[in-house]
Amino acid sequence: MNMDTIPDDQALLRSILDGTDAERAFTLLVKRYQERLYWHIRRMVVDHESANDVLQNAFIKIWKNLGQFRGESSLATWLYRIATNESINHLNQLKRRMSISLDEHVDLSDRIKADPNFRADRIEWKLQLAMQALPEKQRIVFMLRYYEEMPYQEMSKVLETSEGALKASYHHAVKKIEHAVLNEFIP
Amino acid sequence: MSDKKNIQAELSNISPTLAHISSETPYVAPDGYMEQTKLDLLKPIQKSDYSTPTDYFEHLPQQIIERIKFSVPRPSQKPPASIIRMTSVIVWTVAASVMLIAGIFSFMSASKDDAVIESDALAESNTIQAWEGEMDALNETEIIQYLQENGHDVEAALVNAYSESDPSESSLDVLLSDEWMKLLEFQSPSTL
Repeated sequence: MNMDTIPDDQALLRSILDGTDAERAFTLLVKRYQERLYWHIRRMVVDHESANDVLQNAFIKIWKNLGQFRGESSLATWLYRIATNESINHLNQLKRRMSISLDEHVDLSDRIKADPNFRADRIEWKLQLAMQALPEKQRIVFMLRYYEEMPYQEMSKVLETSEGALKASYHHAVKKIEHAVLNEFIP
Repeated sequence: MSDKKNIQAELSNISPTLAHISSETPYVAPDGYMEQTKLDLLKPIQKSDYSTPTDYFEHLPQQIIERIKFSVPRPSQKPPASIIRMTSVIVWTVAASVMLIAGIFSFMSASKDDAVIESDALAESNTIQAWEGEMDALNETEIIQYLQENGHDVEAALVNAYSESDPSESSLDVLLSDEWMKLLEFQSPSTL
């Protein structure tokens, strides 16, 4: 692989699977996607430590399963799918821990408010709080559309849901968030 | 129209309020995190520090082939004794089960038939006892009078009864028997 020119995803994938300079090719892949995936995960799990754990687990999973990537979608779509699933797994584990331990009460809105940069009067933070009140699926759809600007076609591959259902989810999510932000109806 | 413009137009259509809010995420990542991340991420996938014995990989394929030769049975080999024993046990178990089920069904069927027969026999016995009681209550004059008036019906009924009760005996034999001759004489002397 010629590293002087910027290789595309397919070239990186081939290098990793061939074993020719796999480590370097994977490093480039991580560099290319780490920020996008980090922010996607961070908005879902809220705090940095959790986002860091989830991101690392996601990349390790990507490395282990690259051989199973069939190329039916773009590599980016596949990476988002793994990152989303890892985030959901993390949140489910958190919910289980909360239900088991009576002493530990972790709420994502509490995590948002605990952020050192949190300011209750800023609309961006109100938006974050309103998002956490959405059902999980609607929240993910909203994040992918609003922040990642992901087309419905690609999103349907990430979430394995029809485009029509995604459009309806996004519409409901936007309306709920708008209502929450305008009416200060925020958790 | 690009995807980005499409998405913005869609949002403006649903909620103009949200369309005017910055889509910047308010969270902040620690300084230098992204530079450090790729180093941390690569640690688990880098080559391990373990070593192998000298020439280990050169001899490994031959060792595997040798193990395959000794452990995989040839197609012509007889099945193992354990499989034969297991098959035998299965066959005997199935046979015993079939016999047991057949026996249970046979017993249930026989019990049902016996119950019906016993019930019929009891009813018949009761009827006969009642009839015999009535006959005992009649005196000889009343019986003779009845036979003179209904003699033909009684004769036909008795012929039928004898022919049904013993199919090997012909109705002519019955009619010629001494008992019948006496009965008919007694019943209607003028007609003979």
